[in-house]
Amino acid sequence: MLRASLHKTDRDLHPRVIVEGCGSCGVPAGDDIRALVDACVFRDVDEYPDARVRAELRLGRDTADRIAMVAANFEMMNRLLDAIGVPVMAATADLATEMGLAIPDHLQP
Amino acid sequence: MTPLLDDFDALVARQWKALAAPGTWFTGQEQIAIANEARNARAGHLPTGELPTAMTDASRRIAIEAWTIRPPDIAAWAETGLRAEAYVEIASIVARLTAIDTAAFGLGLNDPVLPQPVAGTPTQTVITDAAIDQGWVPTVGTAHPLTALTAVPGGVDLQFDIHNTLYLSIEEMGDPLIERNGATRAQIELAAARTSYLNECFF
Repeated sequence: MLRASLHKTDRDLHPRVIVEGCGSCGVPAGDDIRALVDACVFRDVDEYPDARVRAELRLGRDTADRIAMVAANFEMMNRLLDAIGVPVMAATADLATEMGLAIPDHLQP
Repeated sequence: MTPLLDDFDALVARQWKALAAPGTWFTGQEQIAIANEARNARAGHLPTGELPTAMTDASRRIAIEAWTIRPPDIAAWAETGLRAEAYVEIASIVARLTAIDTAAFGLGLNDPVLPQPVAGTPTQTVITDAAIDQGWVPTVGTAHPLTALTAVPGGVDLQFDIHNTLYLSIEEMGDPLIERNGATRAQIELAAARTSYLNECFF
């Protein structure tokens, strides 16, 4: 869906940048989003204030709130799916490969 | 107070009501102890000792290293009396708590104070349609994000209460151009993909 949503706006996705954490992945304000997500997931009290301010300045307060809330939702989903052993879906597996990630044997679709 | 904070407060109220009340396999007091144990693990603290070993281990592992859990872990916990459906309920409690706490942090708030337990007895309702189907625990239908918590009555509703409030509803997920609060779908999915990467999850 990340790629599909970008294609709808005539942009290309660069999946490896999602992992590598620098440069443009093709998503507008991607660096600021990534920094805010990282601060939230790691509950990094040192990085959070700066990441939050940057995201608010670039995207606005409500959008920064929404980005944090989306990260929170996937904190839940990741734990649920890992805990109960849901196999990786084929489409997700393809994206993982493009990101340069190897899916472990126990999660192969 | 922005509308988003209002939505979050209402979400916490609904989730805490469920956490405080007796569940399927645990009392309200046990459910809150599971949540406390998850927060303890996240903070790097030693176990509280409030819960049996298997419940403690499962709560802590799901909280801080869910990606390391394998079927032999679940089997070992079952041998000590933590049946698979009860393990699913722990996964539900810890995963939902983590969503609430991460959202609070991201919104610039403290972890919400856990509720006081409501007295009562767990229902011990077994979903007879649930069976192992490509996952490690019983699900109704093939193991999938939509069926992950089907072994616990009400589990899916609690999961999607969070999913719909923080992210998107199932209907909205089909729209590549949907926006929420100014966040484009691509920006929303970048936040999702990055979170999954940081959690070493391939979802």
